[in-house]
Amino acid sequence: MPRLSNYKPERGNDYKFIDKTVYEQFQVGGVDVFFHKYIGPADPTDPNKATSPTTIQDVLFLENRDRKYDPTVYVMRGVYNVQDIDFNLSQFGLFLQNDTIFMTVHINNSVETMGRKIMSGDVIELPHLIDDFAANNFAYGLKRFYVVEEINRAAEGFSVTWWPHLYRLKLKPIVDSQEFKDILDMPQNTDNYAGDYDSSKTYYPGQIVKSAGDLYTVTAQCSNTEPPNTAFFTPQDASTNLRAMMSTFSIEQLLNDSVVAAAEADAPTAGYSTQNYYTIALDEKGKAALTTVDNLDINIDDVDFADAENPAPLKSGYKGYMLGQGYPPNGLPFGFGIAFPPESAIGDFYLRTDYLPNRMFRFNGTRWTVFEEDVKMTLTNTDTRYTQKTGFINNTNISGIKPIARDTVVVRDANVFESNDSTALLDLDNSIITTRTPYDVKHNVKVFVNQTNMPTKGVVNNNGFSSFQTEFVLMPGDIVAWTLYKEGVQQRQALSKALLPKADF
Amino acid sequence: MEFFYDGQLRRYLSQMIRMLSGFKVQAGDGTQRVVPVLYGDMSRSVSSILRDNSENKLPSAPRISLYVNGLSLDTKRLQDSSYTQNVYIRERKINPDTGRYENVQGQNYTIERIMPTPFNLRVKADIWASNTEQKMQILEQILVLFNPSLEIQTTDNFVDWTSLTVVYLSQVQWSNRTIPVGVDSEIDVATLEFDTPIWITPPAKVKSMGVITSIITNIFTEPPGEIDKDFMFGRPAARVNATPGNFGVFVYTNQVKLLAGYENISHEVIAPNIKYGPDTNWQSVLDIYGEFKAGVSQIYLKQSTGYDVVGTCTIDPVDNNVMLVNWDPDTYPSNTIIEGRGSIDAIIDPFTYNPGEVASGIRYLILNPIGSSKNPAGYGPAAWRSVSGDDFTANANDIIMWDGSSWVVVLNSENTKDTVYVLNLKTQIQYKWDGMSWTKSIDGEYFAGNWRLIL
Repeated sequence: MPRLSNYKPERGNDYKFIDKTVYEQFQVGGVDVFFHKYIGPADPTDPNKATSPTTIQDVLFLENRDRKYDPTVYVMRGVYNVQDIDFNLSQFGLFLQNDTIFMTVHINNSVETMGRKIMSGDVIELPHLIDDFAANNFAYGLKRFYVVEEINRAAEGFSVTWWPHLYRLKLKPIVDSQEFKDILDMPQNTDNYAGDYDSSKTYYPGQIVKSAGDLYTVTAQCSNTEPPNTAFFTPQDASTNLRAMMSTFSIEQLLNDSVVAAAEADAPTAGYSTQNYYTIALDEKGKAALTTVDNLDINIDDVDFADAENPAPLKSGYKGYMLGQGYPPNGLPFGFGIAFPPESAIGDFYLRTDYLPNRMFRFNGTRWTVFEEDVKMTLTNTDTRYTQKTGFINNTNISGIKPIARDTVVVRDANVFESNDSTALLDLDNSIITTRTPYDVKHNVKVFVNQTNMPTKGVVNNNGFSSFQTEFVLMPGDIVAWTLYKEGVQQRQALSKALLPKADF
Repeated sequence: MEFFYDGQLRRYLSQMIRMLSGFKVQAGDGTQRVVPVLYGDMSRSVSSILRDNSENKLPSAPRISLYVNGLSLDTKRLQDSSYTQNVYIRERKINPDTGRYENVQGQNYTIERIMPTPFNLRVKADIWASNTEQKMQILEQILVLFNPSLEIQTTDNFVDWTSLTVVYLSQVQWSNRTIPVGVDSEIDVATLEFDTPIWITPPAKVKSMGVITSIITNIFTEPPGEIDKDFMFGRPAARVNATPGNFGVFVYTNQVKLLAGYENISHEVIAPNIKYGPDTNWQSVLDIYGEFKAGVSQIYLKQSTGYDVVGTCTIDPVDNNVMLVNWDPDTYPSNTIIEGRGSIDAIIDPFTYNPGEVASGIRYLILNPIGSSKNPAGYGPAAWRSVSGDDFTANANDIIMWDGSSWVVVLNSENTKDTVYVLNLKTQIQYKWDGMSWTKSIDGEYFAGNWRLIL
């Protein structure tokens, strides 16, 4: 007679009986748990795809930041102790206190459902905790999400056979962070959600796909057609994703913008504004300059004329730190451009916009003298803030390297070019200039129209020749000067990467 | 103590939030996200609203929270607490119809500022990042700006001398977590500590500009005068001593004209003086100094007595070369007492006027001489003889008086070199003897420095 033993080396019928009983107990007494299955960090070569759940994204900091989740939601039952929670007011707002919950799930059921063991990084949703009355808004309910921090076998899940039947999950509420971006980018209604766009799949009208972080509704059956092709996809408003509903980000950003706007109202720019102040013109002796003393013809009928005769000040009457705004004193009229006007009178003002910072000049009868520079700059960290230091950061300029062709063209209704001209064709209707230089993908072009820098839409291949289109429409009479460079390089480069070797030695 | 609050500390904090705003983090898929910056000491009520009044709402990371960690008096920067400094500002005129500035001068002001009190404001910025790479992205963008400090301004008001300050990054705490982390995983917060030398200032005094411009050399450094708030209600009390452009003025009764340096006037006895030279438009001169208020602005004429004769001015609407003045009789100079009286009864021409029988004590100012010492006795003018028949002689410009029996000279013009003021009782006009001639007391030429305008 074999000796009595509850434990058996194999999972025998006792185990199976108990396991089924435990499973049934979870089905009867447990609660639905929706699982968002972690499928690994994003593939660096294709952020729409995941690598594998066991991949470590950052081997230095040992963290997985760009997590991808299976768009399919897995449902199983779990049991946990509901506990009262309090809010803890921190510098970042209200945080849940006692926010860690421990949940048990059936091992075999969870593995069968998800296809693998639950792991840290999986996100669960507890549908029974949906808040239907958040902020008294009955239009939608706020879901409750947790992330699995740890998983181990629950002590209470061991049966008399010594085999475990339950996993114990340590769960923490998620936050709207980079790690859970993939989940929060999902639509609020996930019924038709098809996940990240995959060129190998076929999509049907009504489905919602995600591409480059944006959601699109499929309007016509398609495959191998990537959004945002408007023939097949309609972009969804960002407010339709889960983040817009679940996260405090939008209102926090709104509050931040309001504070910055108030700060900008207090101090729109660095330095001080004197534009509303009046400057008296002084003569060469430092006394108030009076044109009318020498003008004996002024009478009552010429009051306006007499005012206009007041000479323009030679310099601003106010001295201080960063006062230059690029405006003439007393609101006097001024011209602007990249070259001085040919005919000028004494006291004329002209803003040269080709200087950085822009520079205001005053004509003294023989030459233009510097009046002031526009040195005032916003204190807000915008993408266009251009101080000495931020000029190195907010820099989208491209440097043309090695000019290989250039031409100057006067735009006419129908330009005709000789074979020895660098310009081959000028399409006035579309503002496109085609060169005689064979196309190379590295080509870069710099264009000036009437001596003003004109942005282009880049160099493209036009029947084997480099061609470019100006951002703004060309008009007959415009003088277009273009230079084609062999290569264009981004001016802004990390110092650690600039001019690294690009070829074999 | 009246209530005063300008939100100065509030502005420093809003500018520091602005300083830390606008930074972004980038996820692996290339999408970028701005890091919100909010004040860190929010109330439960607001925090509950941020969470939609629900425990299900997700806090967002990364986030920056900024809060005050300390405020202390900076004794090293203490200066003379009673020191005041004035700034003189000329505003451009605002067109009341369009609400826009014009390119002519408007109101002028003096801003009197008192020494503010220096404080050192210590502020902490907690940076909550959800992972290490994200924290480094944020820190690299912020830290590069401090070398060693960063300027901020609370206003761009030219007269606010407290608005500019710098922010020093004094300390960086890499993480609030201990390593190893242990069982519980708290959020990871890096802390930047900033020190900012700030000023807290009482309100300024805004007055109408008081700048002496008698001789215009540098209008921005001349000592100021003062104006009280009555000015705002139409009573100018500014001490704008203006002798614009080194002009003199020519005063004739209630008319004042500008007198350029090369011009002169006639000096006829009693008869109206005549100005030679072209007239100058008052408007063109007044435009330089500020807004002229017709009927409110005043002109002051300095007299030899040291006192001023004052009148309110209006530009003649039909001739802008003429300023019409309504003189204040109370400011006229005191009459000179001559043998018991400061007045005369009339001005007469003794060649044509026969006094007849007059009361004792009557006085006349005579325009022509009476008799001559060269006349033989009994050949003098009969009308001016005494009761006993004696001849009487007097010089032109003398003041003579009937003493009941004969005429006597009470003011001998040939021997009088001092300035004498007498009131003509017949016309109630005051006259002045300047040693040379009689003129109306305020008529005549006032050189630069002897007249001024209060606008």
